Amino acid sequence: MCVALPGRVEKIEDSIATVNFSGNLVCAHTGVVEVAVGDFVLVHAGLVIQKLDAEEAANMTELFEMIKEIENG
Amino acid sequence: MDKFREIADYLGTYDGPPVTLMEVCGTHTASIVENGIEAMLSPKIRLITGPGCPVCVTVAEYIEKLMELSLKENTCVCSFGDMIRVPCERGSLRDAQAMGGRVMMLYSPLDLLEIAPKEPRTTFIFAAVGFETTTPLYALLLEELIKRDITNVKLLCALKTMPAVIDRVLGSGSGVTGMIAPGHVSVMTGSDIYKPFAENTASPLWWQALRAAPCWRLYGPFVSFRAKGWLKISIPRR
Repeated sequence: MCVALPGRVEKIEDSIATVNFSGNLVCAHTGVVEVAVGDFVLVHAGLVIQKLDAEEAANMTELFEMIKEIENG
Repeated sequence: MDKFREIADYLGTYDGPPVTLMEVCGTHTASIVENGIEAMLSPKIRLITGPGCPVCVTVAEYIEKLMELSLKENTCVCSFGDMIRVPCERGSLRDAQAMGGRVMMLYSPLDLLEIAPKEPRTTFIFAAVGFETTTPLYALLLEELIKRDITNVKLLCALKTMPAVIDRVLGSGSGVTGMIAPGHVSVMTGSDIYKPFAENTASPLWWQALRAAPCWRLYGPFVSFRAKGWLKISIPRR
């Protein structure tokens, strides 16, 4: 139930955000955190729980890319 | 990449005072195992798995109750995927499903806002497990259910709070000298909830998001803090 990849908000309709996780689009409720299109967010079980600043999101994405490189040899 | 190698070398060859670190969160544990992090550490650094996965620490009676409910007429038990396979003496929710029970795996409890109105004669019971991270999600669900006048959804609660658990572990003579606090819980609560533990037990606590890279990045400064005798709470910016 816990995943913490950063995703980018693509669209918001009512209180539901469409979040892009490396190409996978996931719907998430925005009832706890105010977000805007373009924000990077963490989503827990269908709920946006944290907004990240762009630098933090880029750092996390870079780290995950590094891990992918290591895993792929 | 150089930064990783630097940290790996430091942790692999560490020869200071022995350090015992507990990762509270189950997803940290999974990342440590999947990525072979423990095998890369010096024998002076010991890792202990903590109690922070709400699914793993769910008591057997709770699962038995869910199984029983799933077998009732016009009742559907809904749960996160990982809970469905957790066994008690009588089996798991998956076994209950095989016995004819109705069990539905959901990505989010909020999915019930769409599902429940389509079957008004069915009572949907969500297995509401979790710590501080997941509790607001259930509150949001209840708020929406009331707002939309949906009356066929119930929660079977087994919610827990993290400070009581951490207090128990640090006060139990476990020998834990530092703790990686749960990332998602900290997002909800802020870091102040950990201060009393760091001050009273002289154990550093550090919270971080889940997954391997941050985990790995954490151990370097953590061990270094212990070796230098830094005993206060150490929290990266929120």
